[in-house]
Amino acid sequence: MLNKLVFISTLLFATNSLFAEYVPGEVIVKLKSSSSISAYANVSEIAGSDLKVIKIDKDKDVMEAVQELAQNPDVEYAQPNYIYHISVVPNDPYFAPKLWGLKNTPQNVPGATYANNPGNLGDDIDAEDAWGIITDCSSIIVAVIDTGVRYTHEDLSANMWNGGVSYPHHGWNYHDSSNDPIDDNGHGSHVSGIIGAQGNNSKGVTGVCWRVNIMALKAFGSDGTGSTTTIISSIDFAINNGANIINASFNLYGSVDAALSTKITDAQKAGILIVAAAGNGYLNDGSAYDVDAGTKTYPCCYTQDNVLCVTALDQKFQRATFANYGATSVDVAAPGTNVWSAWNTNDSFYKIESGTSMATPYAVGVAALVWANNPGYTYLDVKNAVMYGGAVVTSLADTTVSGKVINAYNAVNYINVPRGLTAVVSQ
Amino acid sequence: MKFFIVSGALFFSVIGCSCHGGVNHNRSVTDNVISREYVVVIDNTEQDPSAAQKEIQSAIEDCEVKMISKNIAHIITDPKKDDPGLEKIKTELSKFKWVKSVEQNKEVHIN
Repeated sequence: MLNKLVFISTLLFATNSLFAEYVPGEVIVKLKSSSSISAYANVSEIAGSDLKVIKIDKDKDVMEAVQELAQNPDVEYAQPNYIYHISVVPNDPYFAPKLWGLKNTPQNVPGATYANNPGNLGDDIDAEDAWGIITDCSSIIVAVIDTGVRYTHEDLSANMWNGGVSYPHHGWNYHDSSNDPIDDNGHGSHVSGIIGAQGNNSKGVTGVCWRVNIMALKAFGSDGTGSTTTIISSIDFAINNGANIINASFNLYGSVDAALSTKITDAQKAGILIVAAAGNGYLNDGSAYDVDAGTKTYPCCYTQDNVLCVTALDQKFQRATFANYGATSVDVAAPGTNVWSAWNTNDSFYKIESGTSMATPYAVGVAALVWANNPGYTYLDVKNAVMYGGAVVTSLADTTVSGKVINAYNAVNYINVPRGLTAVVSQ
Repeated sequence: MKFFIVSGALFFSVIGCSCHGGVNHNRSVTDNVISREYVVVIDNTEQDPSAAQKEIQSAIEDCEVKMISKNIAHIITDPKKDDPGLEKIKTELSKFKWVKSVEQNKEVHIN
């Protein structure tokens, strides 16, 4: 029985080690009463407890040492000396009362337009814990291909991409063929605010990233309609100007578009992650369906590995009634109802919206946090961290690839399996 | 069936008007497909983009062609003439081995 317990304990630690950081060269043990550790020279007490810290060789694997100590008959339990981070709370006035996706208290969201169904405390993306590690994504450029961005907005202006003299308005307008991608709809500003509204500035909302570079690429008009060509041009701009991530809160319905697929592959070759919305029914009719079985939505359903497709959850962490799904095409879920963010009406205007368009930028923000915290990651490392560093939601098991909702803290701490290693067996 | 009209001025500002400036070209959309607009993927390792633009321009009568990236061209046909249609354009461009695909331009929607 004891052996079984030790084995289970080891498994749990092994699982935790995917997400947790710990102090190298140290193991914490609790001894059984009247036992002592004599095999280890460097043992110290943890003041105010009956625990001890054993110093091990810094080159020795901590988890191996934990396993060895757990089998010692004098040891009640052993564990790594985990590293904890403080939670960080921004001073933006909308944060606690309105931004349930970042912090679910659980609150009734003021001005709700989707069913206001407060969920459980902590049904959110664990933003505060992630912010204890990183808030600054200023090393990352996020291209928002949308209706433009109100780049003068009080919560966005500080986080707009600097395009220099060539692009003085932080991007390009492919819908009207001009250098000014100002938002004439609101949707693009809303998406941008979810990703990167300036955090802790005592104004409005906060983005998942407090600092980031938002590249405004206007491919859609005031009616929310664009075309294959305006999107291809926008992706091309993102490729040529160093974007790391593209937010694609839009859908092309129907058959595979070879030209758009070609440009997605070009982005893949450039190392860009494309985060795409699953869609809100067919042509935004709000009747969710399985995109694997019904009309496919693109770029969500492209099979290139640089595409991460996102569906939307409500405040109870249930898939929103409008949110498309697909066990092989839709990768992960994110908060997507009753989301407050910036709007284009004026420089201090905010609005509540719901849609897979709103879930997508949450995933983009988490991807940017991950990438900023792990600059050596590839797009695939970042995608895996966002997908598999999420939290399990049982109801998503058959409707998404990962069965998870994004979790910023776990994603930032997610350790990808090393690639390119070769094992040599010698006899 | 859905039918949308986008103003001609707006449309021409998107694609430029090298061949037919001033033409009142209304964009009509049926089931997400934008009439008179085509997207061509080329292999730019086999053909220089600017040369490809000229060859497509001369192969398709009464159209304008813009390279929207190094490997993708956008064709718009003259609204005063009969639209040749996708199959005719595919046939005309099939003589170019560097043409990889030809499709109609499609409408895309935000969520």
